Amino acid sequence: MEILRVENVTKRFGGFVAVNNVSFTVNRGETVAIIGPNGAGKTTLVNVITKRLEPDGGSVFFDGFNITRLPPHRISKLGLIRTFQTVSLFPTLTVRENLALPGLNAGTTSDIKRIAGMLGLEEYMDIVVAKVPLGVQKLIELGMSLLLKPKMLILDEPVAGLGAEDRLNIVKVLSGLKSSLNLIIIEHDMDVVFALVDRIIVMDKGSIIADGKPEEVRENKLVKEIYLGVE
Amino acid sequence: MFLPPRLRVLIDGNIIALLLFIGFLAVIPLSGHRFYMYIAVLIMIFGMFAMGYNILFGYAGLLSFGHGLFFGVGAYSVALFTLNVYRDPLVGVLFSIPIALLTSILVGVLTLKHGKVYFAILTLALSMIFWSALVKLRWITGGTDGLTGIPKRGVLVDLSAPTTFYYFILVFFAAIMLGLYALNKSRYGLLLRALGANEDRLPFLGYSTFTLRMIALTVSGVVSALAGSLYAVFYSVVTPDVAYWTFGAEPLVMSLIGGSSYFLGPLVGALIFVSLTTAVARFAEYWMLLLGAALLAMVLFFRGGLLGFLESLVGGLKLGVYRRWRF
Repeated sequence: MEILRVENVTKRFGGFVAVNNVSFTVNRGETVAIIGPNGAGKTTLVNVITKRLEPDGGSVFFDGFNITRLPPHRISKLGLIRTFQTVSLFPTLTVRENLALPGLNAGTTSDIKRIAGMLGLEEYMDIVVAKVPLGVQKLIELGMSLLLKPKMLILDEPVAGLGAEDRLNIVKVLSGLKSSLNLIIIEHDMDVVFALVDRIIVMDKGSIIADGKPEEVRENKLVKEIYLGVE
Repeated sequence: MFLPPRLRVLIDGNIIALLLFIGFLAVIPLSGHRFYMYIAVLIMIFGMFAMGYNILFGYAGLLSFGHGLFFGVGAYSVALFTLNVYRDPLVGVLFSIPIALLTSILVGVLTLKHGKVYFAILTLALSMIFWSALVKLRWITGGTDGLTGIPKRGVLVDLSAPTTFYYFILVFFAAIMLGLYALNKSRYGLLLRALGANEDRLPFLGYSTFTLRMIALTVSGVVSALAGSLYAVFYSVVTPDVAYWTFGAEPLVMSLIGGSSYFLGPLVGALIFVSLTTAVARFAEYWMLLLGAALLAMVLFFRGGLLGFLESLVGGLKLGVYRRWRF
């Protein structure tokens, strides 16, 4: 049973077509990766799905609702939550205050304690976010997303810019979430992708060029040529 | 200090400083000095104006050049009401609250969907339209002469004795300050600070930035109008000057002087501003020069205002409940 349906979505910037007539569905319980080279249109597609950008054409359905014309805060309230490629937090508020913000809508103090404990954030709770390392900031953003009790979580490059230890930590957390949450992961790190997902959608120049199980995509000739750089 | 955790969250340096200041204000009439009472009343009125302004500026990150509009709406509401409808200052002041609320919502609908720069320009434009209307609609507003004879003695209250009037202002001041402190500590206070810190992120946490901006503008507008209505009763006269944009920019200057990212910054700014304007009144021709130099120094060297400067001197003083943004 599907939870997300993207139908013929197109996004143009002037004459440049960033997302070209893209369609796919995600079923409940699936963990999907969207991969592709830089400029393939992955982040633009997520921006259109979550209404950070207005689509020029097509429709998006989430959990039975047509969300194409809804503002971002209404989409979030339906349970479609996202993180950002460049961490987007409230830098002058403390970690505790950042984690409290989603809680005002959906969570409770005990949820904040539980999530902070799960992500290892307890020692940073009273520090202003601007002063904590990037890896911790990524975990805070993940924590904020989880506190919104999402039905689907879209993670835009969750391990980008992180060291090996932080990467491992986030992969471990995400592995634990797989069973209880629909995940879409945009990621360049193929080890992370193959470790986590059930299905991979490959984009290039704004279009989907492959869609299948990890082992199928790994063997796809076009993907090898375009993305993995194998002749 | 052994306090229950919930109480510990509510009590910080700001509330202690605020209560001490209110206590200090409460004993000023005992000195018998009318001049000190006069200065204190002005500090309370402009303190309210600046604190109200800073909800929008320091918390929500919206620069308004049109707060003279709200101050003027409050002042003219109480004047028109007490002179034409019901001759009582208390009822007049209370009447200004719903008028300010409606004005704030109307201004919000017209301005808040636009970017920050457009918001600043639109508030300036609306304020100047209001000022022009006050000047031109003579038969209602008295034109440039304004409205005189706003009563201190009414049907319900008699504020004609200076001490009675002083405590009348003090009650409003204390109520507004404690209300703003409660807001600062509430979930809406946190949301408003978040709005100023990164408003683009909030919709993806399920919050409408328009609604939050509207809350900030409404609180700011009503508090500013309340200050305006008390100002009108204080002087018993109101002229269009209070709606002029330069007057509306004064709480901005006060916020910058005290420190806009500190809860009590605007109040500290109002204290300094009112004291200085009164102290250097005899050198009036140099006042603007002095103010300009002080502002230049603040923006170039002390962007956290006086409280920011003090905090940098005494590291870890924790004067600020929030230290949100610097310019």
